Amino acid sequence: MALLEIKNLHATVDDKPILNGLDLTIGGGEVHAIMGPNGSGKSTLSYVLSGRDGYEVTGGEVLFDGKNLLEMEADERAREGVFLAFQYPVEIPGVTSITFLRTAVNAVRQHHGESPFDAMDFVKYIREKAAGLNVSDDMLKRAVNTGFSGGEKKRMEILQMAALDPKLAILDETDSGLDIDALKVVAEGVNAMRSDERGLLVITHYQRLLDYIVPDHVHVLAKGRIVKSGGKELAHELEESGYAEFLEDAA
Amino acid sequence: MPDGSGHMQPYLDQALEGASNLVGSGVDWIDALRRAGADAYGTHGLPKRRDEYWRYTNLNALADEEFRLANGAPAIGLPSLPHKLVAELATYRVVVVNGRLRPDLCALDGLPDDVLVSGLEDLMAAAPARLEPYLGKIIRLDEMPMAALNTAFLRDGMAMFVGDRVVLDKPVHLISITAPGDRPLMVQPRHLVVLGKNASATLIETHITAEGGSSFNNIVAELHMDDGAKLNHFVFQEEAETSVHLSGTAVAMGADTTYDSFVLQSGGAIGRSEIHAYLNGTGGDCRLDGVYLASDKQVVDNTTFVEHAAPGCRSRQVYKGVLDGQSRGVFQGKVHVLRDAQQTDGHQLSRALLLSPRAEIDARPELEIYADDVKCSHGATAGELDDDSLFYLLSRGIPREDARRMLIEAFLSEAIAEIPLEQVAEDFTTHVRQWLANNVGSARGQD
Amino acid sequence: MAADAEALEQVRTIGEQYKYGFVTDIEADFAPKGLNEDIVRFISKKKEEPEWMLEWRLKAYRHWLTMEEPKWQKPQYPEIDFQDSYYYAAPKTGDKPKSLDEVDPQLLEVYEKLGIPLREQEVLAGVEGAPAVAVDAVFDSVSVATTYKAKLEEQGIIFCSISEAVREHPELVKQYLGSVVPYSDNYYATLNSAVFTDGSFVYIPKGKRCPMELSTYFRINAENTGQFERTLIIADEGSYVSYLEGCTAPQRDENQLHAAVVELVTLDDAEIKYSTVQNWYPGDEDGKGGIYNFVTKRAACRGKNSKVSWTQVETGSAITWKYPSCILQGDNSVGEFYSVAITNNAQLADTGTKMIHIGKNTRSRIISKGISAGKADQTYRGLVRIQRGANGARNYTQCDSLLIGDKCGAHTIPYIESQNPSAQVEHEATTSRIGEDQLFYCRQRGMDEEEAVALIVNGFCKEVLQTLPMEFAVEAQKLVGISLEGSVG
Repeated sequence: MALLEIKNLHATVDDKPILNGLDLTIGGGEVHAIMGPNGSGKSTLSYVLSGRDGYEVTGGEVLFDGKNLLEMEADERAREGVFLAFQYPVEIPGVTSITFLRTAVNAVRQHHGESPFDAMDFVKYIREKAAGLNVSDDMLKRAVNTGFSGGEKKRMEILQMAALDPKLAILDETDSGLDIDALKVVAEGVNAMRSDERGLLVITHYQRLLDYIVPDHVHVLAKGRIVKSGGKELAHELEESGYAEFLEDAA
Repeated sequence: MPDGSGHMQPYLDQALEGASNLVGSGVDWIDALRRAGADAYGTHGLPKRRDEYWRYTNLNALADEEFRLANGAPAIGLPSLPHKLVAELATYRVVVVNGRLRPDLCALDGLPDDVLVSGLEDLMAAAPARLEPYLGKIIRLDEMPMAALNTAFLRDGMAMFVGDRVVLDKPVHLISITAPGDRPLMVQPRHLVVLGKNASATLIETHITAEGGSSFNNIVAELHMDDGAKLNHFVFQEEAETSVHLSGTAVAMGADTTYDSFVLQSGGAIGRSEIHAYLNGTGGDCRLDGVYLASDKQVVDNTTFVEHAAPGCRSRQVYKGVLDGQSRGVFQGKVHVLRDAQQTDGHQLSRALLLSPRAEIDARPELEIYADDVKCSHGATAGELDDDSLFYLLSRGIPREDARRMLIEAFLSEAIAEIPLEQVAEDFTTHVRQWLANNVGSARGQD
Repeated sequence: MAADAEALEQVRTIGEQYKYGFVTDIEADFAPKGLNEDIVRFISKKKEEPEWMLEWRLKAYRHWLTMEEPKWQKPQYPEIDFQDSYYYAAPKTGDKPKSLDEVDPQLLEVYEKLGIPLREQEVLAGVEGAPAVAVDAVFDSVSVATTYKAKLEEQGIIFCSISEAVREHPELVKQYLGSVVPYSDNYYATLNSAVFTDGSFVYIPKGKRCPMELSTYFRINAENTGQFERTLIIADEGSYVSYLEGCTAPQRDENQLHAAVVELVTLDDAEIKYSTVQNWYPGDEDGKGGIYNFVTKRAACRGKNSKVSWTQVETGSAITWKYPSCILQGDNSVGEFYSVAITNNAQLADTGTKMIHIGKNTRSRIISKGISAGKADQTYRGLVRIQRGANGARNYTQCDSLLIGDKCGAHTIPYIESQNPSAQVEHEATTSRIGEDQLFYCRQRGMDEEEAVALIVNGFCKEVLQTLPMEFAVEAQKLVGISLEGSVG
């Protein structure tokens, strides 16, 4: 059974159709990249999968581990193991990162019948995860993403991913706003999370990120549908030729 | 004193009846003060909707039902206090029950020299001259009709004098208990705090209601701060849902004084905290913060007047509230900069979260400015929780109710974080958390 | 920036303080002084009104007698003796002229002097130049000329004086007059309902975009008269109109009352842009004379997706007291209020807006810039109310005040009432003065202090001024400079 099966997915935002019959299957251990021009529906796909309000599914189905993903609330999906690394991580003044992380991790643990971490154990747990990502204790004490630099925000996203240990991680334009050094740190963090069970869906406009997080499969999204699929070499082709041909094809 | 229709203003007769038997009667200035209160209240009457600063807080309940003045303090013991850390804090304790000092419940051992904490009535009997320069001197009776009523009833409460340069080693904890009987009870406590030059003190007030029927608590506090004085003032207003709690505080600030006030209101059918701060000397620094939590049909009102009368003063106000059920939150704040108050720096912020489709917030932040070299601003927002933040928390697996509570707590924490006394900040936070546990979640399905 | 430079140039060349203060010696027809039912009947008769109009006026008058003059506003003024004023004054020129050629040349001269175009220019397609503006000229109590009427009529657009509309389009007037501002609304609106004399009427039919700016120019000339104009604009479904209003008055030692009522109605998808440049005589430096400008302006956004945008530049009048408002009834309707108010010398102003959100997803935006100089006192007073059913409503308010000199005052009194959790209301306000460093920078570059102030204040108001139609924007920038003359140094 595939980890994620998207069949003929249609979705609208403000009554405007954005996804128009998208099919995609991701198996455990696979890394898929979705590339596409602006406005092709990349971010919409990530929000539809993670269950954001305002993104209305008008057709098709999504099975996650065999379960109907679309029936679940956003938090339920997260606890089931769907993780979205945001393109623009949200600042939440007044909530410290450590409190936020512990609340999330414990919600997921309890969902799986595990006992919640107490404060002390959690600090140990999170420090271990944080070390490799260059996330300092100081960052953990600050309010979630508040006043963080672009690089810090993305590292915090990857730390959350490591801490929550999802089955499927969706990386939405994770390279945006990062310089090359920051990008490397983030990519290393992501690669460290690759495993036989976990699926990864990397959404990106540019091929650059895929030099560091090398995908097994590359798909081109245009006008709300997958219009071409191939191996990692497809990303390089796109870098050369651009998206113009797909825009015409799909029209 | 009739209100024009031939009827006596409500409660005025009760004030006039008892006046001649009170301690201080026969002392000219005290008689005059009580009379001035009765006159001002008699002219104005109970505030009505057409009164600019009462348009959102309706006192009809006080007109519909006659509350009777408490007849002495009942012999109740000290109840357990809702706030653990503050309760355990080493303090000088003053207990007022139904507006009367209960010396047997106070704990004032070890007060430094040159500090006096006493019952107002006791002091009025023993040394009225000590009170004369201060009592009733900064309450503007024509602007505060309810304080005028309190003045007409002037009798007892706490009087506190801190001498020049004295830094009080422990906070003073004023515990104010309303103990209603079986008929509607009225109490009119009056407190006076006088800080000498460069004196420094912390005052914590806890307002609670003992078991019983309905009550009307009309409190006035006058705070005099001589040059260089510093006062931290924390208020927990947690009266019962059968109580009308009106509090009027006036603070006169000399040069280079610092007044730091934080009010947490979550109690009362009606709870109103009205603070008038007068920045009379240069270099004054006034900070008024507050958090309010309301549910059911509660009305919680925070009204502030900050008068910049001297140059080079600073005022800061941050009020944040969370409203559930059919509650109403009111914020009215006025920053008044007089002609000579150049280099004034005044800022005011009111933010409210509405949790229920039947809650309401009314805000009226006001600037009245007559000096040109000033920096004044205010801001006000009202709305619900931010969608992006909520989704971010949900997407991390945090259940919706928890996510909501976290965000609300975060919203309020900005104000609470400013509290300099750790135990007070902790207790405020605990209180907020408990309130959220009791209230948020019942709003399920409404978002 | 070019516009700023131009404004500066004009500020430099204009010598006098209030250049519209002249009196024209035109013989006028007056109603007898004072106010009673006979005067109301007199006005109605002069206007050849139908019975229902008279009845409405009388109902208003009788109600007015039961009302008390309001006292809650900040500017207080001596009690007005309503019996010591004329309620009707009209140039003695017989009937309203059929064409411009029949208009009294003396009147034409007045408008020329005021810079108001009463001659219809031929506007040729593709020829560059100022777009045509249709003008309704109201002189004291009557409309003396309305231009481009015929051209507009071709498109089904009605633009005429309200007196004419009462006679020619009674069905529209009956349906809409008093439907936004009821005759019992407030003291001065009720008085206006009883004795209004003239004003403009506009109806834009379904789907029409009015091809030119419509404009009314009000002039008070006669002594001891009050002006009570009434304007009604209806934008039917999917239509659009931009309407401008200007006003001036002679320099007199007495105070004159101007109590107008303006009602706007927008139906589905319609939009009205209403701009005012108010330049009534402000009185002299000591506060002697000047107009009491007590006006009720309100718009009902009845249709879904409809929009009303108020822009006002208030520089004149001894006392200005008005709150152009929007009742946002239609779902997704939008209300905007852009205001520049300048008070100098002894002027007083209490102005702002009300945005009442009733429909779903209604939006409002308030940008208010107040400048106070001399001994003037100014208040922004605004209400934003979100009613229970206004899901998703949004309001943003920004009020900035600038103080010039240490004898003036600036006050900001917003009322924010929200009953809907899904609504977002945001209010910001600041009060400050012109920075010494800005002033010094300008002066170091060769500007004198008044020029520098005019430049800086124009910058401060820019956000509002740029919402004005082009022709008015330049005029308004000039006014900003002139209004502040003598405020520094």
